[in-house]
Amino acid sequence: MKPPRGALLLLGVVLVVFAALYVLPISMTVRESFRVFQPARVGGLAGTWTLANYAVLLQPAYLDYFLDTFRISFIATLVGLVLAYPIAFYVARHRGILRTAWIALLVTMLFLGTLVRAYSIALTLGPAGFLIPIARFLGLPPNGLTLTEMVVIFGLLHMVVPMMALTLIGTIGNINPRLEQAAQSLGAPRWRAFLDITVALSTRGLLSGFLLGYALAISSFVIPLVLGRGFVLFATNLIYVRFQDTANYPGGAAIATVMLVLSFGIVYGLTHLVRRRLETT
Amino acid sequence: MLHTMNRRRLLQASALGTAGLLMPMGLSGSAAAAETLTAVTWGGPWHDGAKVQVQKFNAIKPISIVWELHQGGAIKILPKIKSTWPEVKYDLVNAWAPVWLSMIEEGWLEPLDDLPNLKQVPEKFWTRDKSGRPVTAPTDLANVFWGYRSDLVKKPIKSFRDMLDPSLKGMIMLRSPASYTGLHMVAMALEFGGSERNIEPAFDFLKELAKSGNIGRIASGDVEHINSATTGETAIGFGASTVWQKIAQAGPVEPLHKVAGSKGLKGFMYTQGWSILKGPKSALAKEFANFTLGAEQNAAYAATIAGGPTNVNAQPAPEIARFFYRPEEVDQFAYIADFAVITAELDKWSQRFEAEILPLIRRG
Repeated sequence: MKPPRGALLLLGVVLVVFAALYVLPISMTVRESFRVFQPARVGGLAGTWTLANYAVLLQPAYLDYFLDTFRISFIATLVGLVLAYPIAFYVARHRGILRTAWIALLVTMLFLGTLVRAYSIALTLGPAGFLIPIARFLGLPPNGLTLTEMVVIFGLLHMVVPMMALTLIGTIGNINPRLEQAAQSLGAPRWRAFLDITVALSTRGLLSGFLLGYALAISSFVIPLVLGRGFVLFATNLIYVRFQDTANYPGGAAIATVMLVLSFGIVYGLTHLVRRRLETT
Repeated sequence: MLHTMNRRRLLQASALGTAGLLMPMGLSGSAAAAETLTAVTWGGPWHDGAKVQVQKFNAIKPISIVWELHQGGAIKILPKIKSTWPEVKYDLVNAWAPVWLSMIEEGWLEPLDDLPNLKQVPEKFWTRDKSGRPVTAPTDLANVFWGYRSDLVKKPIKSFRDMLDPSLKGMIMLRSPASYTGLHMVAMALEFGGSERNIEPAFDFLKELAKSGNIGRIASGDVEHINSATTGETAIGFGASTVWQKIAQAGPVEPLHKVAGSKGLKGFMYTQGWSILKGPKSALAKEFANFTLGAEQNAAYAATIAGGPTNVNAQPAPEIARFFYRPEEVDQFAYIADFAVITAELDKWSQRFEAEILPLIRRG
């Protein structure tokens, strides 16, 4: 069937906007990553070409920064999913004032800026907060890596939980509760019916929620900056240092490009993996 | 005669009517006189001090300033200027040597040799462009040095080696390499036989310090340092006189800028001040910059930001005198770094810090 002319025109406009807002800036970033950086200048030298900005990233320390970004984000997203699912389940299956209050709370959380949330966590768990005395009491080094990573994960949860819960409400809402009741009437224990019916049928929603949360966590900049004490660094923080602290645009652009490729690979790989599993089962 | 009304006539009539209404109210006159400049400075006392200067300047010539504050280090203003150049977003930028060197390299700065009050500032405080003309209006003298809160440490600190003491677990607040352009590392290099031209000894010591587990935070800005030290999270750090004066309000501060016999625990002195970007409003910006260099304004501003004045006829505030030097002490304790060298090396230091030191701090 031939699409109508109006639809083609509309699609054309969208493609132009997409190209201008996404493809062009990303292409310029990739191009910048291959330029030579001259100290004391701002940005790369036009007309130059080098792979040096990528070669720097082959050092083991940089591999660790990338791994940390993915590892900490993965933990935060997984914990976030565990927290978001019951909230979404409650909201999807109940009516009344509490449901409305939950939705209002989740939406309000999104309205709060990341910076506000990061500093509120810093106030609660930071130098003036209550975590330091607790850590001292438990014999943990208050300025140590473990505690700092925990605080960063806590900060990321603030971002990902509302987003994932709101995504999952629709998924769970579309699952007929009678299916679970039917399984129970056939003798399945309640927990088994819940896992085998409701959770199993929400797999695609869980994947969407996970990917959304994971993307948010990986690209988070403010949370590790404010809560990471300067030694829990995400790739975004390294990009910021290159662009803003030393005006080394090519170096920052190289990290950004690597991050983009890795993120795309992970998202594509995860989606492909889950889809294949769903098809085989 | 037939009168026709079209869009242009309607707009003209509206404009004339509005002007006619505003004229008797005296609004059009003041609006025309108060030209607007866009200025960038640091937050806190720097912004407060600059606002007072604008108020006083208004008595001579009405201006209005749109303020933008540096986010962390002043060096972060460079990409913002670059992004729109040659369209000028800012008229005045308060900065310091490393930032000015990049601005000079890019050819952004207006020469200021025609500012009458600049003649009252010693030439050693001037920053010149490639043709030798001064391009900055140095408003204050900063001194940046290592120091600590003496109520939070068990033993007094008299050398860098003392910072390796096991009782200082997590109590040192290190600066990120770009913060103060790595002067804290230059201090370490000097202590162990190096300098900004040979930073190797600093990295050797940083490795030891990182392994000791004594580094509790790496800060990229003054506010982070002040918050950390005033709450007692960390005790030892590297900051400007302004920072130490703030921390001193929370607890006793021991500045390490006059340590007899130390080669690295010195005060790193530099000037801060206005630079003017080449643009349509540079003449007015120059008038304002010149005003700020006058002896009276210079002394008041320096006192607000806990810095030293640059005008030879201005006196420093007594409460900040302990963070500076008497004339006879300058040669012994003050260090004027070569910022041209530092600016050229900073990116390398920053990358080495990420690759060699941060992993050790994380394991420490």
